[in-house]
Amino acid sequence: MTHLLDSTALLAFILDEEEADAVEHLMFDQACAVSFATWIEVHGRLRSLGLPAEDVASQLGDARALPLVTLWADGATLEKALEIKEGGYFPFADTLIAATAWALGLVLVHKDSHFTALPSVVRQLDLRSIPK
Amino acid sequence: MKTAVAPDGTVQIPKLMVQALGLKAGAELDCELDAGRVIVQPVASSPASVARRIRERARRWKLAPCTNAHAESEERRREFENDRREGRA
Repeated sequence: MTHLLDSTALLAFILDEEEADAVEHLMFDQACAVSFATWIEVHGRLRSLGLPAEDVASQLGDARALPLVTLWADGATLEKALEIKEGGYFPFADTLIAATAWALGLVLVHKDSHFTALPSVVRQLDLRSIPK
Repeated sequence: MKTAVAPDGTVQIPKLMVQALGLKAGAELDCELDAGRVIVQPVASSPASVARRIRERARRWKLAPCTNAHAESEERRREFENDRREGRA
């Protein structure tokens, strides 16, 4: 495993945003993972779009079949999450996701400006920085 | 359960059977003939075909006037960011 997709990265693919090609290449050319928290965020985001419940279920079901490993929080994740929180206020889901990437030494793939506040030891790939 | 050949030559599988198979809208099916019988079964989707289906569905949403996906704006994106920040998403 080399990369961890943040919710914003997975949503870019699921909603066919500008960065969808880049995310698709990562998913198929690298070994990618997501935090369990991402599935909850993605579900909430799809619901917020006013889509029919069946469509949300189909899209989420298909997304779960993508070549992604779901990672659960463990002791190492907790340690890193506490370190992130020590650094100041950070949203809870972002904390969990970033801590998971940090604990496992994965590159955090995102399009979320919150992550610029993370310690530099957390490797990141901001999808917005990839030339189109 | 009976069904009939439609004027356009297609045959519709009764909804109850589709539901019993647990199939969702958009599910791909393999149809084959076997000694005069029609065998219909779900396609075991490859990751690539799943990825294609996800993006096609998203493109349909962007065109559908009944959802907010077609009007996805920077403002809605910011709402999501705010929800994340406040733990609501």
